[in-house]
Amino acid sequence: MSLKEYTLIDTKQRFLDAISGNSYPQILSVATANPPKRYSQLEVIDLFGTKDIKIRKLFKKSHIKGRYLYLPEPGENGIIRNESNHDLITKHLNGSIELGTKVTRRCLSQLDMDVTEVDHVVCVTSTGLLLPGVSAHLVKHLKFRNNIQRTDIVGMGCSAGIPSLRCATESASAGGPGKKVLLLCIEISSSAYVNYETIQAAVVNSLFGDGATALLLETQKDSSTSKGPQIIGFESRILTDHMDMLKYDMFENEENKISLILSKELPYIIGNNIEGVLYGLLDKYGLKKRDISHWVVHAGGRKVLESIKYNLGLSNIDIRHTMVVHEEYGNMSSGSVFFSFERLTKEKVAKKGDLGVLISMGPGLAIESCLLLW
Amino acid sequence: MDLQLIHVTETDVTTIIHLDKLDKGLVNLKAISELTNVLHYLEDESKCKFVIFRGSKKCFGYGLDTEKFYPEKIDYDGFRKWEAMLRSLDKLNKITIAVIEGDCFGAAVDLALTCDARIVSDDAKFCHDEMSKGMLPGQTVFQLGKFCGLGKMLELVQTGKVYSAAEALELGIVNAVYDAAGIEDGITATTDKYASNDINIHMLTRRLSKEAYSIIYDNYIGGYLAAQHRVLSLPDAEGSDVTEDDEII
Repeated sequence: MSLKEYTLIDTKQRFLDAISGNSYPQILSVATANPPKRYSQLEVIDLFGTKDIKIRKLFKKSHIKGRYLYLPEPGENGIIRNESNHDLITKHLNGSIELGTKVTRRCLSQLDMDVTEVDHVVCVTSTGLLLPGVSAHLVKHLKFRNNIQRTDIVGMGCSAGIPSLRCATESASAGGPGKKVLLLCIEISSSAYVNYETIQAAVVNSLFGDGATALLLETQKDSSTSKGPQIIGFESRILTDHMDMLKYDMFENEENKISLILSKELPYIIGNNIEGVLYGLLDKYGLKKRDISHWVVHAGGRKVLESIKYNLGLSNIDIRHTMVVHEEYGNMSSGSVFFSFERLTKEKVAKKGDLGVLISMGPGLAIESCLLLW
Repeated sequence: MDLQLIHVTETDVTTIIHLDKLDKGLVNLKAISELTNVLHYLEDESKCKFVIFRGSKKCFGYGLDTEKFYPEKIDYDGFRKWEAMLRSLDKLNKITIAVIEGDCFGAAVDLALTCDARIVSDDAKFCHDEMSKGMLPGQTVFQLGKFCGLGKMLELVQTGKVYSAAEALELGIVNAVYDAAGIEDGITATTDKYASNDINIHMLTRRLSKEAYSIIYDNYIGGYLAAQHRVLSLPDAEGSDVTEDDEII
């Protein structure tokens, strides 16, 4: 097409006109919670009693300043004991209940809402396996209604925030206006640790933090009523050729503990494939990248963020919330993307009509995206 | 596209954006809008490799028409739109060249500095006259010091002195100076120099080079490795495995 033939189309306005009058589920409230204790990277490495110079250097050079973790009290030698499998499973259960309770109350209190008003709770965790699942424990502990709809999502790791948001969105949408869906991402990463003096274990131990997020979704009766960003749609990719790049290994360590394996090539594989996911999402709605005002990315790690920045042409300002979450909290798996989203919300810079994109990535190898409209 | 203040000539290889119809060489809000729209067209549709900005023989530009920005009250949005247009230019998937003949004043220097290369006629003159108009220079402050150093930049923007093409060349602000008759050959010589560049590699090199002035090495290296991996993974590029230090997570 030549310049003469080219008619500049305001793709964002065209999109807004096309969806005018539609009602989409909205995020009415977002909250986060962490364990009481935050540790610097040096404190963690000292608590593990690590002497290996290369591992100590890895922790010291990390871009992460600190993380909230459930760690045992150290012994007289200043080193924490090696937690047994039973210890770790118990920690996951207790931590999930503590953080799940805290974050649910925070999320609902912002709306003056009681837990009995929640119609569906979607619970996400990949840092431990419980039966019954986390949702059942929280229903009991928080006294949700006993006819509440429950969904537990496990095994989707860091990418799970967005697929679970899709699940919650579809539930809120199918239930019609007024149905209240609570999405909880609760990750006790410190229950998926192995304290081995290997680079592989050290990378994981230096990266992940404990945290939980809660989002309350509801479709408004009147589509013009905007109480929070509307969830417009999703786009996903699974790259099964790269499945082994990010996975739990429970069989190659002598204690059969959950132990995460991360490939060094992972950030670049994500980078090579991220454009396809983003443009897949934008193309669905006839949008251009320049129509997007807000970018919220899962704080997967510094290399992952660099790879996304350089492959999508984003700046540090574009992903400022994620950079801060990464530095101040580490990678909190499924909930990380909503920690960044909460920071964007608190900034109060998103205006009516602004578009935002959420991006997460995780095992599978999965890349997930979601389009929001304020 | 209906363009009134700027005009564009386009070939398969090169698009020239002519600025010589601007009223008194000044960029008003409509001109910013037209420039922005042309950049969007070039990004979305044009297969050309080079984008060249040209003024008249006497004037590349005199900057922003600030009287039109705020005839009644100050409209800061005009400045924001100018900066946003420059940002689009900085990210453009083309090789960008400013061809400067005659005067290049004020925000016209912003535009020239944002391009990948600047070639000038020997009668070209430069001036950062924003302070004398009671305002601040924009992109010039952000960019000029990277070309000529902080001390010289302060002198140039705080005194508003007019300096010649030869001085600009000596300061590293422009890439080459040609006599008036040789400017067309100069354009050809410049495009020839860049002709073999892969545009993705060119864009990433532009970004990394500019970022190198604002970030520490530990932060730069992550971006470099990510960009390098992207470049080597591109379908047309020869691939090889990137190796990196375990410590950089």
